[in-house]
Amino acid sequence: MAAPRLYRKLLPTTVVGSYSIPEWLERAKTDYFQRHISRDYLDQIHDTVIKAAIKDQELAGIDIVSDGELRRDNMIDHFTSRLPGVEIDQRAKPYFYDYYDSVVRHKLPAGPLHLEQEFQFVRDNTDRPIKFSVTGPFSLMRRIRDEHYGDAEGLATDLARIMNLELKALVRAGADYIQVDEPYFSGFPDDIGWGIRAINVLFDGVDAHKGLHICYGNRYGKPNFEGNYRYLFPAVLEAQVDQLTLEFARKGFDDLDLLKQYPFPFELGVGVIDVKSAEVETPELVASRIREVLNYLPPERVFVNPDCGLRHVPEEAAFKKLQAMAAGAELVRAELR
Amino acid sequence: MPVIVTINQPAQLLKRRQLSLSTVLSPFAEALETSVVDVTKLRVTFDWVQYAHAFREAFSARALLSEDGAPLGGRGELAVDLRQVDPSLFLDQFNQAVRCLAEPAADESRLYLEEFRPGVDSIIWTFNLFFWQHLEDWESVFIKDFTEALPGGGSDGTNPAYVHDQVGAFIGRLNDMAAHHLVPDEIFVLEMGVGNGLQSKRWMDEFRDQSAAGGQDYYKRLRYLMSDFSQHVLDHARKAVREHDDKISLIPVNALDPESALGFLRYKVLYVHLCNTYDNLPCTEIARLEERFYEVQVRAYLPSATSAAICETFSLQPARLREEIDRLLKIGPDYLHDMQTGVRFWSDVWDGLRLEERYVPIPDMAGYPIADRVTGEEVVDMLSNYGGDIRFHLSNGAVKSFVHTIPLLHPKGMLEVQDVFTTRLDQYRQGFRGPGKYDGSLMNQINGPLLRQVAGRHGFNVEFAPFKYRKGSATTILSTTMKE
Repeated sequence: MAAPRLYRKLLPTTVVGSYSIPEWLERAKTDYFQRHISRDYLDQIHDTVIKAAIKDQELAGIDIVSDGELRRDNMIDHFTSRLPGVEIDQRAKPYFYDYYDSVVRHKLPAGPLHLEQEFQFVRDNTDRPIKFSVTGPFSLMRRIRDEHYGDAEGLATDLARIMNLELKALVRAGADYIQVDEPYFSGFPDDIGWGIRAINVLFDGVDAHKGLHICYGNRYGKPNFEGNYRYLFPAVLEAQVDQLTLEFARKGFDDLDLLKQYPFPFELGVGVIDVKSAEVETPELVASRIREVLNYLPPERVFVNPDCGLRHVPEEAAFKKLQAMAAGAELVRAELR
Repeated sequence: MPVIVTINQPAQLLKRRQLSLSTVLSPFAEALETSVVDVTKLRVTFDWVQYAHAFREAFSARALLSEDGAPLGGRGELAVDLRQVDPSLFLDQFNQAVRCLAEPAADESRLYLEEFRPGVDSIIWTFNLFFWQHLEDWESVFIKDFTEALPGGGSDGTNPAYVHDQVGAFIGRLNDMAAHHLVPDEIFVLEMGVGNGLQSKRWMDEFRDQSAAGGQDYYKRLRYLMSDFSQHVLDHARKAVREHDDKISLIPVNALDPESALGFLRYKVLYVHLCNTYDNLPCTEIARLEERFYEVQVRAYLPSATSAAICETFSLQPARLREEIDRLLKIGPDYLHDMQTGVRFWSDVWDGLRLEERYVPIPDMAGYPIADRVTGEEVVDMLSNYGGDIRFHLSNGAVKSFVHTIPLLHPKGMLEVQDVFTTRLDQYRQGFRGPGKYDGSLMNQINGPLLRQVAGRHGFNVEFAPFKYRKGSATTILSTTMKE
């Protein structure tokens, strides 16, 4: 059973992960982590580039926008550095995108991460619907050194409990579409069962449209893992989410067959833009990819998005890719009218 | 301004009694005292050029240019090759070189083969490419196998103990992946630069045996790609791997851009191996002198005595020698009477080639192009915590090859390169790092710190380890894996 429709428009377009990060922004971020500029200075830079990213999405014709995750140094540390109880002994980094050596030495206490402030900034700068994404407990757990739990599932579940409170705070702040990103699932297919249980703890009682994004990673614009989505099934069917967001553009659509093999209850956020290539898709190519999915699901259950974040795609190409995505979705909408 | 004198790595040479510094420093001091030219604008560098065949003469004058390309009134560097210098001639040669700097002009006695240009664009790389294109002809005349002339009598890539450990480590990584059911159906391995095929044979033999010993079916899933620039080398190498015929594919690949020929393997290759390839790829040198960056521009020439000897040997008109060299490079060694004569002409020209150098300011190092997707930003970062004057290789070809190879790597894949690397920047202040000549090809040590910097920016870790399997080996092993 599909979740109630959140958006009236057919085939709504949205984004996943980070927007393109130009090299000068990388340098500014690294300057902060090397203590060359202040936190206040970096915050001002972030505010400015996020406004620009929102504007880019609006101009490109994206229906549901995000802050481009430009405030985040990477998808892990932005959360581990805010999670109470996660210890980071060395907070300076040679390169902003590097991961901290994060460690848990005691049971994690609950406490706020204050992500609602980031949501509010986006809300203040756009009238469009917003998707807010967080990294999932499984992926966070994989990057935290565990010196207390001795049990991966135990640590992931506690992370989910703490993040659950944060998601509820986001909902109170007005967030109505929350996506959790779990790229590390693809590297540990045997753990998918309890990984999904952790997702359900994370989303328990969260009154929002709930999405789960699973890809093969996009670190430095390259996959962290290879394989196919067969490992997700049937475990993923237990996820208490409204939407599954998967990458297809780069890897092809063979895995869509899984949707026929299992009773697929979710909406599908279909990746139609290859984020590991700077080559800009044509609207026609995007449309053909969407049509591929419509052989398996009705359009009311399809969202249109890139495979993952456009972080490593050059700025100009990233913008054009979003434009092509929006135009491609419109081509298919016109056919369906 | 004082005279700045640099002496590269004399300690080791003194220890081996290859060099007595006093025999050259005394005449040097005398030269300074008696010079009629203002020497206070000089930099003087003493190197021991370890290559038996190289591009240096005993004395080289390197002018320092202004940003608009004009010589800076006698400012520049005198480079002295301690291996070649004759102390009894020191004073004369020193004064001659100083005069060259004071009144820079082309030396009419030399036969120049090009105008000044960045090292990467020099004709010496055309010769290098020519060697690999016509290796069969070269070997037929000099009757030897290229690999047999390597130090130690063979390539370090074929060392049995190394191959054993290398395969063992690879199988270990496959086993780690297998624990998570992540081993792909096809295990792609790529050997770039296959030599005589022995490395590939040993690797596959080991892989077959160790897989069987561990009870895995990895060998059955192996897809082994042998690639080389030279079809002749590939054809020759194939003979060595006949028993693995159903596992191999032979693919001509330009080492500078493997991605273009092998793009279909993007993110699929679990192991890439290269041996003695990077040192043979085009390269420009850069110098940072007194906080300013300079491109080292080169101009290839034949000294007058060499030109004369070549003309006499091959009955050529001196005025037509340059044209003959151009024809050689355009047509191939069999253009001159017969192939054997052509190869000998080629060999004599190559042997005689020397390089003039000059320093041209780089106003914007950060914007300086190094290779596709790589600019001088990486140099600026590499040197950010390293002060003082330094001259180093950009290793443009190696960097280009590297950035066009890593996209082929599977997320759990590894690129391993056996070659001669500088692994620390201070090594550039402790010895001559190339270029040198090896048979008909070129070699430079590769800038390891720069590769590490570039790799980091592209999301990869680089580690260096000395090659421990042959005593005295100059080889270093570079290992690259994706950053987590």
